[in-house]
Amino acid sequence: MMNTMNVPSKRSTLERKLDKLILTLFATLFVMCFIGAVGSAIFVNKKYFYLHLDSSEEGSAQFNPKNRFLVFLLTMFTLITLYSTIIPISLYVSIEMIKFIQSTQFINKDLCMYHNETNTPALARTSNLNEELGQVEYIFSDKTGTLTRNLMEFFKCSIGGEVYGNGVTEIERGLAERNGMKIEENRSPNAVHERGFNFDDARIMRGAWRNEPNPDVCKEFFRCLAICHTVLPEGDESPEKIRYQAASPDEAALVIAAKHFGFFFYRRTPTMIYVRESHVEKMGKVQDVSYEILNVLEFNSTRKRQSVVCRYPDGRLVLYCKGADNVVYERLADGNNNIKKVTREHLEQFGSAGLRTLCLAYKELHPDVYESWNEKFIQAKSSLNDREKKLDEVAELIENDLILIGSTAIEDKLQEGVPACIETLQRAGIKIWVLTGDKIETAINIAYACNLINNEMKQFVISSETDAIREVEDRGDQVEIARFIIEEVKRELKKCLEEAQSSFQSLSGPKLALVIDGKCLMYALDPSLRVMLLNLSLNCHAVVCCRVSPLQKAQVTSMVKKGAQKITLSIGDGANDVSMIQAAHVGVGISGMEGMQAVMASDFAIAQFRYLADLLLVHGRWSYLRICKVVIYFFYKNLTFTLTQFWFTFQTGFSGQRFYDDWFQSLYNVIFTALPVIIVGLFDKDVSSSLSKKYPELYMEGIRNVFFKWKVVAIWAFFSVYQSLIFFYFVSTTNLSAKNSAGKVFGLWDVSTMAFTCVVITVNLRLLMICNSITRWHYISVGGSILAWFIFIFIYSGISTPYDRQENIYFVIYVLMSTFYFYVMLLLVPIAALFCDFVYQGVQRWFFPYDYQIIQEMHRDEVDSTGRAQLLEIGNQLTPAEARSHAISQLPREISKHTGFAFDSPGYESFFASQLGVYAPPKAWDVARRASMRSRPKIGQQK
Amino acid sequence: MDLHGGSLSTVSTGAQAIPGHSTRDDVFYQFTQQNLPACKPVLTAAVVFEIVDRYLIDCVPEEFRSNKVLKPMKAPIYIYYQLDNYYQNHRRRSNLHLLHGLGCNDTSSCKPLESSHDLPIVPCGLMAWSLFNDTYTFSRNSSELKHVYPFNFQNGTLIGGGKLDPSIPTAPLPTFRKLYGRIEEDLDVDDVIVVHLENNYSTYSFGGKKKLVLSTLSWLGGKNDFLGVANLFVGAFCILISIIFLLLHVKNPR
Repeated sequence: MMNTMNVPSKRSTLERKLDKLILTLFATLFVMCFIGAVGSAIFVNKKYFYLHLDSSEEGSAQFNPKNRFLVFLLTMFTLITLYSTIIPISLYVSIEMIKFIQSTQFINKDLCMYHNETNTPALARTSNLNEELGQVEYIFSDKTGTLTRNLMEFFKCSIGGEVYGNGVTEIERGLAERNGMKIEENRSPNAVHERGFNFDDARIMRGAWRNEPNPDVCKEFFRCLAICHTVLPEGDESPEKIRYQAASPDEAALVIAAKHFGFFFYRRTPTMIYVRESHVEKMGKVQDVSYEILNVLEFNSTRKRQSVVCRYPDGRLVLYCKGADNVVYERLADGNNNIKKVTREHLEQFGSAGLRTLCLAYKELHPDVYESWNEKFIQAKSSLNDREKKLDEVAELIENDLILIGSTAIEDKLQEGVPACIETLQRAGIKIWVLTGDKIETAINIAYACNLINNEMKQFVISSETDAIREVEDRGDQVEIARFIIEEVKRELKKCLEEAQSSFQSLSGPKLALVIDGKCLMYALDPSLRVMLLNLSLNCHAVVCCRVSPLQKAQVTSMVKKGAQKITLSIGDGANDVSMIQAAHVGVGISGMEGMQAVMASDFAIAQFRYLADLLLVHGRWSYLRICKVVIYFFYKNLTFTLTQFWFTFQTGFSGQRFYDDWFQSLYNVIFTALPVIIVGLFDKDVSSSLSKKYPELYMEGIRNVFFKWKVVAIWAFFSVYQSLIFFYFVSTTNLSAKNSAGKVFGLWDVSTMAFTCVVITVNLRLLMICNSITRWHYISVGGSILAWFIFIFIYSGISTPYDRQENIYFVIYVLMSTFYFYVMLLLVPIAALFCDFVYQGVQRWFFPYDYQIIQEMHRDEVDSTGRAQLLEIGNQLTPAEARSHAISQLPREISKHTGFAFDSPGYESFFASQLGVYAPPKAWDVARRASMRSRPKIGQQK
Repeated sequence: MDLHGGSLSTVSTGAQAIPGHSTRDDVFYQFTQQNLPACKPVLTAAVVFEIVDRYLIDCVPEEFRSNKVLKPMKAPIYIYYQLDNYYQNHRRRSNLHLLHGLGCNDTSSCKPLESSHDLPIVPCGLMAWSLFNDTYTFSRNSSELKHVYPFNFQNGTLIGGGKLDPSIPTAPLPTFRKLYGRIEEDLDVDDVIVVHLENNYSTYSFGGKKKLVLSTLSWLGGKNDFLGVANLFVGAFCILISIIFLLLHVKNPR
């Protein structure tokens, strides 16, 4: 309960800017009232005898020339009441209604964001932030469960120079789709798919490997998978029911793969492991083999490899090694260059496909060599000083002259559609940060797999796992460690910043990517270094933060939120992400396998990461566009209405006489102009949803906030002033002469009713001019509003009551409509008022169009698809096998430098040391890492 | 012999038809004589003319003003008085109660002229008690115009209905016109209209102006230059913008 905190209340940035606009209107209101009050104080004079201004009777104080200051004050209050219509109070009601319907009816019921497998629709848990989704510039994303499925599967392998495995990764699928092709995955009917094993190749399954060109290499490959690990089996010793307790999911995937290849690891004692091998001596024969594990050379981030020395039942000594390709290749024996070259190519293919790779190698050990080495190993293990360092040195003595067996490829399975979604969001101008508690290699791999980082980018890596930092850490002085890391981080940041600036000065510099781990981030977030970190990271196209704690995730989000003054969005699926979801402007929770904590703390909940494209590019952009129009239009119509009253003040001796009847003023915002603006707020659509996703660059207009700038407000204010002048002076100036053959001259209330009729019609027609798409509901609401005015005035001016004010309006509309003048003005005034708006819109669209207007012109002949159906997929003529090979050949080969590396071992050293009965203190990041893995099974320490 | 006999028979039939005058024959007669009834539209501009004469330039109680008629003015000719810089729409001036007569009990909003001797004044308020009391007498070519109305109204011992002010209803602007009366005689070109003014209502103190307007009217009302000019301007601008956009479209088509 100590961790329970109140969910922070969030308001959208546009609403906060709207508050500034309202304050500006208040200032305008006071300026207008001041002008009127000063005018009234100057105007009052005894010479206007017909006004009885000098009367000493009750109620004369407001216009008494003897006390002009009192006249000023009282007129001020009168005018404040009179001009209060300039403040659009009903705007907030309309906006709340629009946003509520947008959330409950549009976002929650979008079929494109409905996840069929889990029966989970999108959920807008608040309607306050709809238009905020249209202006997001930074996305902070969790990795596990958000971008990946928290599931590692054995996917492909290379054995003796042959690639095995028919699977297609998500990144390959996305790349093929981008090239206009379609890959079909060819799976055999009896393919086995277990959690952790997603491999299908009939050539080596069920003993068929015996018929391959190198069956001995295959056998060694499978044995390496079955022996070289630290996995603990649990449960029944049957292939269907056994469970593997592994320090990392990729190790479990390798052991599961060995099981499916016929090398079933089923038992472990402190010195022995037992493997049930099939088809080794003869097809169909199963035998149990026990191997004695003599030494285990454990993995760490410096070594990046793991080795075991085992003794076969017949006495053979063999060392099996698996690790990153660069460290394994350095230690291979001379010769066999062809297999090395071919396997290297396979590794690059796997890496480009987003898979994480390991190299497998082995070597025979001579007993004498082993005995002499083992003495050194025992000495190092028993040492009290520099134990780890000595162990590493001893391991180097035996891990050499290895023979390459092949490589494995494991898919850290991405959520569906993640690479395509990230590419789309990046094209929309959104910068994506991945904040993960995993190690730096894992995070970089996922960033490559997600299309977040590619080989054309220039990477800045700031890591605390350097030799210099490690040496200082070995001394154990905490103060010295902190001081050294601060200096190191400072130097690295400065160097990266200088390189970034030089990259900017060159014309076509590469895009930048920053990779930083949590330990360095802790010091980089220090106030002295934060500015430098912010300068560097805001210029990067992608940022990956590794080994960060939930608190650091929130700190990074807040840093960008305050430092960059941009709209931020955090997305995650677990309890670790709650703090960063709450820290961002918009929090998105993914309802996944890690529970519902993220969803409960979020503002929007979706079932898959790929729905973020629909949420931002379609719903966010449309919502931003609509809310901007609603706000600007409300500002315009209230200003226009109030300014006609303001111009009238000059004609009444600044007395504050109202131009319109009370009921006109009350119902203007409530009935006569209310419904059409809500219709626009719900149904306006500049381009269709498919075009919104086809052209993600349209989203940049929201990031730059081009529809709600002070410039836009100023333009609308100018047209408001112009139109109000048209309304007032066109109607009142023409009143000097008679209006019909009976010689009638109109009075004040005839003129005001005429003007109000022009205002209602013009303001409603102006709304139609700003609509991008007009449905019949637009016509119904606009026509209905104008009709409502006529119905109201017929009833209102046709009824006489004892109340005093209504006498003014009695029979006014009937007299007006009996003159031709009424219809002439009804035609002239709206056209004259809207003429300048029409010209401005034409010039703007012709010479300075918005991006969406260009898209509208390009696609104006296309029929808008109903139901947002997906475009029909055009199948190519290639057979599945040809399509797959064609797609593989499209992958970049020569320029590819990145090969995935699969070792994710949180708490690995502690875990493994406990197996040998040696206690090793857990390191800080392991503790933080373990604390953030609530969903994973606990690894109990054994002493 | 047969031919001759047929001719005789025909002549007899025609002689029998002549005495009966039927409607069809009348129409046929009109057609043959090219005398069918028809309307004859004459497309000509309706002439609306007005004379505006300002007086009270000097502060004299009586004044004789002469105006020459420049265009023929047909009856009825409306007489207006026009006041400038007169704030009839000031908030100080408030409501009146005519619709309900003595049924109106609450006249407090008419201060300071709301009651007298504890009885409500109807109509009440400053608006009702601002009576424009200038009078005009018209003569043409040294002889008095006889068909000028109102005539013999509120004169002598016969007093009825009070003196209703044509200032009601309130004018929207400080410059306004009010209908005073009508002239039911035609005025010809070069007639000289002499107006005998009794300058009773004082606008001198607040710098107001008083004018007398004689005007003829059409179905659209009185002379209204602004309306015509505004329509011409807006129409011209619309045509101009249409031409500009047409040229843009021709030069750079989409």
